[in-house]
Amino acid sequence: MRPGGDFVKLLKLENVSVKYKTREGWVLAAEDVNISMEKQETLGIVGESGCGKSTLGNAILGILPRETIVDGKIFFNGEDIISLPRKKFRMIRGKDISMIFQDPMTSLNPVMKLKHHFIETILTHKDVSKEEALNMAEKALTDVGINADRLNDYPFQLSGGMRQRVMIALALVLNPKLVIADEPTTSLDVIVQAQILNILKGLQKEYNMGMILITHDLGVVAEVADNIGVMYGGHLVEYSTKMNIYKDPKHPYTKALLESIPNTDINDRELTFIEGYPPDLMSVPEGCRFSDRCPKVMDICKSSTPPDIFIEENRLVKCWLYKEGSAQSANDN
Amino acid sequence: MQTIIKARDLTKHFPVKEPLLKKLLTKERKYVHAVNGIDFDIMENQTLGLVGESGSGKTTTGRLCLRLLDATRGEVSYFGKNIFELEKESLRKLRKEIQIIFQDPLAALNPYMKVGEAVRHPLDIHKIGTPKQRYEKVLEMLTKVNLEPAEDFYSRYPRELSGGQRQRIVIARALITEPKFVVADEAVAMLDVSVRSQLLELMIQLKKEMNLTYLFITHDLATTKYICDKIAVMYLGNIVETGSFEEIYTNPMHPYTKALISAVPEADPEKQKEKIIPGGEVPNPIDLPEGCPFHPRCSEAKEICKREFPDTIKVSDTRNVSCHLYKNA
Amino acid sequence: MKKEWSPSYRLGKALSRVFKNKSGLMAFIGLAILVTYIIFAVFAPYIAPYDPTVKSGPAYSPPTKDHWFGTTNLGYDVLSRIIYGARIALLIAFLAVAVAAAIGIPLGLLSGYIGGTFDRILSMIMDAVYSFPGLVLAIAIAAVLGPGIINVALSIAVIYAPTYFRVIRNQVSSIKDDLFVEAARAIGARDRTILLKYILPNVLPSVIVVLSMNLADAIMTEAGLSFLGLGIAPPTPDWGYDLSNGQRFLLLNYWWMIIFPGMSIITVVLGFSLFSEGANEYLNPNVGETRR
Repeated sequence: MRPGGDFVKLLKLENVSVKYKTREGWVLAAEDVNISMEKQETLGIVGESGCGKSTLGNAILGILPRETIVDGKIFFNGEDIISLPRKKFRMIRGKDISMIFQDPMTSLNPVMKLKHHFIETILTHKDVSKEEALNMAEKALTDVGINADRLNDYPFQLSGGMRQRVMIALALVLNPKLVIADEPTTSLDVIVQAQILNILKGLQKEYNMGMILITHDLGVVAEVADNIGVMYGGHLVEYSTKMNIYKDPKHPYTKALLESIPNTDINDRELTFIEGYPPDLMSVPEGCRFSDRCPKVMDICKSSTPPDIFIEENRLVKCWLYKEGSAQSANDN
Repeated sequence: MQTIIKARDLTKHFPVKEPLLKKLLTKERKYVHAVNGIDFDIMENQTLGLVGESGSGKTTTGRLCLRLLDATRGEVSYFGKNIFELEKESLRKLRKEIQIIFQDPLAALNPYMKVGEAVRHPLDIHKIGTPKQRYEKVLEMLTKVNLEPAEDFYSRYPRELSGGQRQRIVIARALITEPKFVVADEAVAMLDVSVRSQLLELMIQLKKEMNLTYLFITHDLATTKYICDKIAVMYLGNIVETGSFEEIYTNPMHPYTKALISAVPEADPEKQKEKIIPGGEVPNPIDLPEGCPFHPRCSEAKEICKREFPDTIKVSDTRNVSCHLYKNA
Repeated sequence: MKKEWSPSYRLGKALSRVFKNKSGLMAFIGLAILVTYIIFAVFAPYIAPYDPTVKSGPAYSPPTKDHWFGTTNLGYDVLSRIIYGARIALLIAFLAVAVAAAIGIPLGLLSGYIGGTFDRILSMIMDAVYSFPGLVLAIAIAAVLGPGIINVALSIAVIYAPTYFRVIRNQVSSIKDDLFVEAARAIGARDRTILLKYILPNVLPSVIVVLSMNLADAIMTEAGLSFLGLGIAPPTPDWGYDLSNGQRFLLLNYWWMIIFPGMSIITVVLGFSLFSEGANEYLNPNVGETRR
């Protein structure tokens, strides 16, 4: 799973918190997130709407609105990018770290031909001629399975699936070291989704990139991810390998979530679900964010936020059940 | 048990908006062939699942079953009466008995109507009961959908509530006139994953309590397992295959169904399937292919598929498939 | 369920939100100005020191402690004329805008909802009226109808009706395909109910903003008409007329006869504008948002 040792990690988040102000008050979108990934790894970040996963992705890319406050450190290849001046960050963004956005319909400029999208992106970061830029664009487009002569088309001339592939091509054309894919297949049909995931997997290998896949779909990460981080209410509640998460989930939310997803197992006709609703990030409850819905809730859960507990070297759970000395941790499982 | 809903040759073609000049110069009219002559039956207390991707025509079919859209051709009979032939007043009365649960709970509720008013509105329209009785009925309904304390929720506005709560209100509004037939149009698609099962469970419970018959429209095959007795798979306005969940999932017959099932993501890393990805893209419903609508993307297409539209072949009592491959099954 | 939902708590929270917000503050200041003038208008007999249509002091008197704003060429107290003038200005403005809305909104509702040829014809008519230069049209109509409060109000109403029509019609046209309207149809609601209960409340907020800007404009148009002699007949106190009257004496350095009516017009218009801008920004914060 992890080549041990002190190799510099591709990405390392240390106590990252993100909060921003709205008319109605402060929203604590993410709190105290500690997570890291290696080069060429695929990290899946899963959670429901409002859990903070997209915010985290945006924070890494540095595209949060100006009034947002980001605490903690984000190390990209050893360098803390939060403390970088905006200009320097802009040079990294798009070139070394890029993003595939969720909604291809609105992420592409409707009045710009595809080739101009590419040229603009490339020339912002690389000092090459227009010709060379076009060549790079053609390669990127063919890599995602679109005919290069469509560079002269406008976005509206393409279908949803094709537009998403263009987004992928745009994200990869400069050969970034890290790609953040924010719900890349959510608005797509199931069959198109399978196509896109295939392409993503293939290209990641070919381009040797690290990828963060942000999604609420546990089926998608089961296919693609190496390691998975589960988020709930702005907290990273569990992190481990894909196998561990699916086969041996530790956090009560992860367990409950996996059990409650409609599955295709013919012999499982029972619907289980989690009572209650995800928390409102503007008025977060005291203590553990999941305490009001947790089947194993204890008194301490309601009053104090659980710390990050490392059950094994690279296995994290944010839950009081696993604190040494906690009566439950011995009996759990 | 009777057949409540009978759809025969149900067809809906939407005219494409063309610029005025073009309309005057050419006689040709373009249409979006959303639904193309489909047949299905739904028995009392049964749930028929309608599964398909975008462009399959499933949403349009749902709208047609309520006559929120008029059919281009064909009929939908409710207890033997063709709903497209009803007069205005009879149609309004029909709305007490056939209802719909929409996909987007926030968009389906009037932002300026309180929860209680919205749920009470069908009773007001059909003049059911006295004002006091209507109020009581609303409270009863809100409790039924697990929105308690009902009196509190009565005076809330939709924007103050969560997605799951809003959808419960949409359900309450749909069921307050005690309809017999309910179309659920992607009823849980826009809800959070952890809330989806809650609402599915609620719908199943209400079905038993209130003796409902559902048309369950979805793109998520897995949800049909829990609530549907029978499933129909749609592609480009046609029903390509019908059967129970087991039959379709373990033994898909139509090549499109096979592709669809292989593409469904499994939340289990050990159960990863070999994906069958049909070539190309879903064609534009304005220009339908000749013959079988799936043939341009079908890996098993034969000559006949390009020319002739396949008949519906009855494989068993519960199983139909519309494909030339099974002609002699 | 929770105390956060009690009415008084929500009101308090809402008010403090308004104040802290820049646009909320702007709207509040505008409102304060308007309220002042409304008080002038309503309580004029109790506030004004003199009868504005009667000689109450020496003519051409500059501001003194007896006449804070000085007197006119006929010895009328300028301050009293300003205070009473608010009546005319606000009365006509509100009347004109009310009539314009009463014509424009229902027609916009019907046109947007029914659509088709009816909509197209009505829109064309309204566009024709709208494209006419406002003041010119008002002058033409006022010249035909003659002076008087009702006539002036009507002339102004005609030029504003198309604005309400357009705003409402466009919104109705897009809302009528929204899901909650479809839901209303699905439960069997009649067209009339749909229009009044589902569509109207959702399109009205945009009109509120137009209303306020219209009022500002109406005040100016009315002042313009009176300035040109087509509005209210003397000796009724009217800012526009006073402005016109006073300009003759500016060269003689009798500045107070023109400055105070002019300032009144400006401040009331400013009041309406601040209020409408602030309210619009506050209610629709997406207008002009910073980059994401």
